[in-house]
Amino acid sequence: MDNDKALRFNHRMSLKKVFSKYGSFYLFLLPAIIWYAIFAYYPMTGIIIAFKKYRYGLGVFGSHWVGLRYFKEFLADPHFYEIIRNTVVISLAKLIVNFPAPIILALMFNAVSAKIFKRTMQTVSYLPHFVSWVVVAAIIQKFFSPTTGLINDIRVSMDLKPIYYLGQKNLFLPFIVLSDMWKGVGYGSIIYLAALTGIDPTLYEAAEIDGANGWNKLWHITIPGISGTVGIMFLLSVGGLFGANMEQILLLQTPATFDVSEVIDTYVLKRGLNMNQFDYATAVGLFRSVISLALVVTANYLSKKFSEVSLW
Amino acid sequence: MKKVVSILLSIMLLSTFAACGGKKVNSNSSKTGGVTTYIFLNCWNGGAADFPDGWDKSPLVAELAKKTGVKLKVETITSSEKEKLATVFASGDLPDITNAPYWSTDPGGEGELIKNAAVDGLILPIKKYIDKYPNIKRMYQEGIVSKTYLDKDINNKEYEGEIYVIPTQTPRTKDDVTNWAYNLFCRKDILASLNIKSESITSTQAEYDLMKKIKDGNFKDINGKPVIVGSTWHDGWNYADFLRGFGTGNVTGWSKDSSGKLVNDRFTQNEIDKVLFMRKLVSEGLFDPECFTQTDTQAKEKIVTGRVAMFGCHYPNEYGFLKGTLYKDHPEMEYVPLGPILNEKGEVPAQISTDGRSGSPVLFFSKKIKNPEKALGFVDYINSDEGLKLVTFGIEGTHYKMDGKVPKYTDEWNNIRATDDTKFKLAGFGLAGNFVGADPRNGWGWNPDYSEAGYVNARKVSPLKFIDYKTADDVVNTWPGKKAYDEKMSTYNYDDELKKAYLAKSDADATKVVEEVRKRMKAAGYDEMVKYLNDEVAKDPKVLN
Repeated sequence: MDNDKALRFNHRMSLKKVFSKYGSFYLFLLPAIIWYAIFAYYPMTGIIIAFKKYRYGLGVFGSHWVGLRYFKEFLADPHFYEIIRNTVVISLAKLIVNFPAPIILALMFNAVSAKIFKRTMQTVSYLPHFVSWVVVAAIIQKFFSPTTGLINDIRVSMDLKPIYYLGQKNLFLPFIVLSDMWKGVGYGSIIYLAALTGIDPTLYEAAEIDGANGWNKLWHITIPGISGTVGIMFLLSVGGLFGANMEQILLLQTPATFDVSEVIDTYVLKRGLNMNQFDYATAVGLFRSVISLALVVTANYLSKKFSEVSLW
Repeated sequence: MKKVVSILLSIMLLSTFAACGGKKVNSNSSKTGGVTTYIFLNCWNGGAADFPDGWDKSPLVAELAKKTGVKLKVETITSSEKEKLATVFASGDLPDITNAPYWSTDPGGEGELIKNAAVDGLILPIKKYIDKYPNIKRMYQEGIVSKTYLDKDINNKEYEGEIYVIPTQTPRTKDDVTNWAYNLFCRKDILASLNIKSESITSTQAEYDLMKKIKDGNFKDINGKPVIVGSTWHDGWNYADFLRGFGTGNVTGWSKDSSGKLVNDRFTQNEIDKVLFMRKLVSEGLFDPECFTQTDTQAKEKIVTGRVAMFGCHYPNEYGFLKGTLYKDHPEMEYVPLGPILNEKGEVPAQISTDGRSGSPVLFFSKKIKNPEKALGFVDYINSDEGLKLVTFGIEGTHYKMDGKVPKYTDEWNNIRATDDTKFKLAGFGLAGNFVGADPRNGWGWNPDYSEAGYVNARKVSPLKFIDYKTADDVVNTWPGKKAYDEKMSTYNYDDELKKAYLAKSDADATKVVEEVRKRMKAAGYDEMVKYLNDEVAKDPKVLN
């Protein structure tokens, strides 16, 4: 007991010492702390309207409590299963296809020795990241519109019937996944390229002396070298599993694909802004956040248990 | 030394951060030299056309500021009115003055948002001011607004005797009621080429046959691209004109069944036939499937080149946009109204108007507005004879001359008005549509638009019909279970469901959409509602359906 006290005392002393020595540097943290407090944590207090009948005049704190009413309503909503299914399907498809894509691209870049070609390709692959989804959706429409799209113009010139591509339920998922990949794969590869530069080059030299071919080096040096980064990125992606990119889906969905495209985030937006049900929409959003948190915690626990990778 | 430098750096960083926050600027009214500037939100999708950049520097606006001591700083929107209202009210940061739709205080409507904001104390109560402003006071008269609108929405019972909104775009007498001339319009040169007279298209079948002929006719737009047979303006507005043949001719969404009992239209075979007809147009490539979700810009891109052969719209909208664009170099591509396409009873469909307007755009003021009397004085002045003349005809000698007692635009301004909407609005004329209520101008014979040949013709095709008695909807609104019913139906957006049906893979899938809404209506209490309605109608058979 006395030892514990002594340790805590020493710890306090050391903190005091740290602050007296580096205190001024800690001031640099203040802007970030203030920013997070004002723009990230304070707005979070609005979550309580998920448990209240929100009235403009009474405000977030003055509105009356209704308990779990909106959560129960959401669970009983006829759209509930459809929305959950769409959210999971779209997010899983993105995870399965688009999670490995930047890793593969980074490995490909890493294998290219012609510097000019490599840099050009890297730049070209990053650029779509900086194009907003509004523009991406407009480009897709310019290609695939049934009346004014390039592809259908070609079809019509060949006496073929135009196809409403964005109105095909079976094409919605490929559109979402592939446009997401086009936009994010280059930018996503940056972090893996950074991880690749951290691998000790002498390992490759030693492997070459031992007679390893390119495939052997990839399998035994490169992939293990970036596995920690891959693990962390995967855990972070799991947290986003219930967030399927509202902006992208909203811009690309059509009435014909509502059945397969309505996800939690688009539903929240429509209920909140279009139907003026901010309280209900907040409850649905909170429902999503809680599931996402549970998923990250579970994935992190499992990862920690079975490997060395974990977020905390 | 290192420590001093680091502290200084920290302070500089913090100062920079503080500077990023910026000085708090009061976004609301400001006063300079006796002129008060109010922030005005024109809460109408595409409403920016009324206020092109520089409109506020016009002599008309300067004259108005001189007379009223008020200037406006205008905000416009390009997205949905409902979304904008929801955002404005949820943030609590209302513009000083807003003009927005107040179609209904039923759940899900813009009217409900405004009503909630009023009840919650965000909107300025104006009852105590109204008596001082005779031109505003006139706007609340029965006959100018209908009794139902007055009872239900203007004097909503939840307002507890207070008044929050000023109805605009209302007529002063029956002569002043605007006939918007909603119609199905078709390119004149295409009809001529097919040797079809516009007035011969009087049935759904004739409409369908025409669309087939257009599709097979290999017609092109001004750029040589093949035409889109049928389309609309933004968000599918107004595809309902393609369905005119399925119109019931009723005032409300209620019809009498074979036993004489009222049933909701959604429970009729006509509803299913209507849905299947639209699906047929889409599936046969006669109707643009993406028009239901296209933006205003996308719609205009198609229409401005004559790419669309047929669309539904009201005359002032299409003419206002096309007169200065497509029609300038291609007058042969003028869009003319088809029909009249007769409704299911074989009657000419009419634009129904109650005795006084039964829903309207409204003006309302922020509770925080400074000097509300000045803002109300501004609205009152615009609605005086002098103000109406100013915002409608501009400045005498510059924009108009008097012809006896009637003002007439000069030739120059008459020409600008007919051909260049932007230049016309740049002169400040866009104000009129936003601030005028109990509007006598049409009845006074002032508005030359009404004598424009195309409009005269379109109005003939689409006549007006007046009703002056309570409707089935009015009765349903008195049903004690209506609020609970509305809440149960509030998660259901029938318009979106209908669009799903039009784009469905099969007729069976499309029909399911209507069947689904029937199930939901029944689960929400439709049977009790319809029983109540029919019991009430039995007591008062004059109720209009």
